[in-house]
Amino acid sequence: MTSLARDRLVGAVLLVVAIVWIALVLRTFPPAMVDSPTSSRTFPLASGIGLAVLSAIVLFGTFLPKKDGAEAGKVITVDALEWRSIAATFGFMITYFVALKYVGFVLATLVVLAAFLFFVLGKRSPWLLIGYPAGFAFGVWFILGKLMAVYLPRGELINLF
Amino acid sequence: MDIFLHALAESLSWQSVAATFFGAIVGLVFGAIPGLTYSMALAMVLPITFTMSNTPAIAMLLGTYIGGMTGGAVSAILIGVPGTPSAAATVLDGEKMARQGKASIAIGIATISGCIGGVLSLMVMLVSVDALARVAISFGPAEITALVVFGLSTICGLSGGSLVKGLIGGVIGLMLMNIGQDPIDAVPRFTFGFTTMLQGVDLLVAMIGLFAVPHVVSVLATYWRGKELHIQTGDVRTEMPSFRLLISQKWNFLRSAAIGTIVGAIPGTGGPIAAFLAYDQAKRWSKTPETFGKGEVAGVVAPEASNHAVTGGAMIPLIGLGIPGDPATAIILGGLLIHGIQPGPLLFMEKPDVISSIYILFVLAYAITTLIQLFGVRVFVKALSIPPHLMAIGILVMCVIGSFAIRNSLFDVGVMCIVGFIAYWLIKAQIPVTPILLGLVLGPTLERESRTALIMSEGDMSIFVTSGPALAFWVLAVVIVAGQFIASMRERKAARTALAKPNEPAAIQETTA
Repeated sequence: MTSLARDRLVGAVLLVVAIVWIALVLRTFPPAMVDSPTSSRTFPLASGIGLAVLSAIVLFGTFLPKKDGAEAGKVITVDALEWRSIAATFGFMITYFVALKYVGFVLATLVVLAAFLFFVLGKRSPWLLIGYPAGFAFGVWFILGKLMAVYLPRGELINLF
Repeated sequence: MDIFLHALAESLSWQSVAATFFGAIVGLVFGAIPGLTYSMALAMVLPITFTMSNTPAIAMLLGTYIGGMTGGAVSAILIGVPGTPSAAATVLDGEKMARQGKASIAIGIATISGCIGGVLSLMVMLVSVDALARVAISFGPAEITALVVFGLSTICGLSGGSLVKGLIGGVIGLMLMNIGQDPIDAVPRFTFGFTTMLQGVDLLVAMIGLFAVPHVVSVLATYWRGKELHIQTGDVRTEMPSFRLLISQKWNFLRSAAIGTIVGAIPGTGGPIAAFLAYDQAKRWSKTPETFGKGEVAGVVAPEASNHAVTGGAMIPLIGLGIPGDPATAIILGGLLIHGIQPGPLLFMEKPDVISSIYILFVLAYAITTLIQLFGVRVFVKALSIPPHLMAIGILVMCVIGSFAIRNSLFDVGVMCIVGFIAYWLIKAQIPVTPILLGLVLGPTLERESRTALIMSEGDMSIFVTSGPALAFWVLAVVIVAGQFIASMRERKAARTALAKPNEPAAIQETTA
């Protein structure tokens, strides 16, 4: 995808978001009372219109003749490795989120970190696979959970400590 | 005097000292590792402050901020890669000194220079914040609206490229802020029937998603591409510079600190600009300008004194007006708001002890950071050798725990993931995320004050421009936006000229032939 095509896509997506936003504001928020100059609609509507105008500038700007053609034609790609890192990051967060809900902080951190190191990052050193998750889980549990009394997630099914 | 003594006792309590120490270490480590920023460190430590009382919480935030600024010089000197953008100018002479076998003294000079620059900026801050607050105390809703618009206009300075895309970022921040309960009529907005949505997108959850998650994605991609930076630092010590050497740099300290404080006080500028300006001035005023770039001591003193002075300068609009000038101060503002502290002129009347505590903690943070850097650099520099991908998954765990700890809600963890996902694609689309943060931080004040002003004037829009200060802020906002627009046009023109130049000889040859 060229940078011109990217800007066209970004402008179009944001314009759609702005239109949906404005429609939701008009349909779901009550209008201002007769004697009131503002309402709960005022600010969201102004922001929605602002986004619509700015995204329209980006979108229609891509149809204007470009003087710096090299910049507009610059190819931007999202390669397989980048998709892999996106999937790994958000996959980790979703898995960790679910694990926290059912098995609590310590067990979820131990298991999910070790699994991520082994399956996703391909680590095979037993010291790393055991030491890193255990050090991290118990370190955070002790410093944040015990010393600083920060509430850590407790599991619905199992809960260590 | 009683207020000051009370603040002093609170600030020097073991909790505050421990919190500053912890914050300074986190800041130094995050600052020293290229790619990790102190904004990210601040977003990471903020959830830890929830269970603390106000003074230790502020101590931890200031410790992290100042530690992060100081840490950047370590990697700049040792490996020639700045840990933070503010330390980029330190590379020029710092790395040359390290190559000449003077790494220890270079780190020592950088640390002491940073501390002197920071403390000098505090002196300016002490005088100007009070004066600024005295003026701002008379501001009504219309003036505050204009002031916030002026603050938002700095989006242009933070956009780092396209003005329109920077403004889009700011508007997205304002839109995210609209989610939840309306601050005046208490009408639920975009909650879709979920009671958890009534509180809206939490500022801290958004910060973590915006700053930390996209970083992790890019670190993992770099790891799988096999382009990860492996840093071997060897044995590092810090050597104290002699008193004579420090005295010989007195004008350099004063000049650089003045530059840093002034630049820091202007919203949307920040450390890198201050550091390069100070470096340039040090070279101009030097009797031996030819030695700059070859391991000149003054070339380390100037950027470090200047970028640290930015911390004091940036606190002037933050404390005096409640306007953050850069991502780090925006996160600090968020942290203060979470603790029920609303920076601005009213704070001077309502909570003068907090103002005194901020000044004392500022000095404490510099003292502790300097001591850790001078005596502990051998230990914490080992963090540079931790592979970034291992650091990244640790950050990811802290992102999840941090967003959960805010309201003990897994719902917030989900919001953080979504914000992080959106932030990643916005960055890919070259829409900067810092303006989103600014929109989120300043949006509630903008809505509340502008609507109050309109209610007061019964819908008459002229209320926003009738007073002198309001008009001045509007003019400043227009000047900033116009200035940025003109600057970006000039940059484009210069880029086109640069692109066209290589073709010129070919065209001449064709004509000749």
